[in-house]
Amino acid sequence: MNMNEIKDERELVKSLKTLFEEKRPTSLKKIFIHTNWPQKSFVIFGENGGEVKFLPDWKWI
Amino acid sequence: MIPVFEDIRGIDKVLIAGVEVKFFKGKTKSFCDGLQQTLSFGLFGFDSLVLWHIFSERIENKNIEECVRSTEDIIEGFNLPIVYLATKLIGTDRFEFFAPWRLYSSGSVEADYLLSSLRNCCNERRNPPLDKGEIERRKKTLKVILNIPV
Repeated sequence: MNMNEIKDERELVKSLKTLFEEKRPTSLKKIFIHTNWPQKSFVIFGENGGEVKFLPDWKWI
Repeated sequence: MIPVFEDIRGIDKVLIAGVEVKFFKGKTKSFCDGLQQTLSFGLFGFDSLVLWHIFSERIENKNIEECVRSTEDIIEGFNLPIVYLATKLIGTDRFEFFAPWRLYSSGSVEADYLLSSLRNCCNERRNPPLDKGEIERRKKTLKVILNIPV
């Protein structure tokens, strides 16, 4: 896939994650994707594709 | 994006970076896009806060340089604790650096070089409030949910 044809950041970040996992230096242990959407949450996508809701609805802050 | 690196400074076993990615394809974005999200990562317990502006290959270098200079002026002028990375995407898997440095001689680099450079930059610039009790506790929580040994 030509990354310059990618339409938005979400699509780009997914492609970058795949690229980085293929070409990872030994110092890179893991890599995750997060999203700020919806805006009141900060969601990290787990290693097995599941969602981990971190700071759901900003309850900590 | 959240890369987890081995921590070469040995402060902890791992260095967790919060990376805010902004993709510039045309003229719809501003040089300050992503700054507020990146700063907010400071409260979440990340070791380093990274803003990564990625420019499409179609954008001219002079336009990228103007945008990058403005972003650098903000970050350096206010002494923000942000690692700023700016690259142009080349083809499917290469990157041309514009910040934190320009590689005039060698052109584009591969992903592993970019990641190693990012880790080195993160080592040099850490999240300032990380040693505060509440933020430290959030980092521990972050490690638990990411299955990283505490």
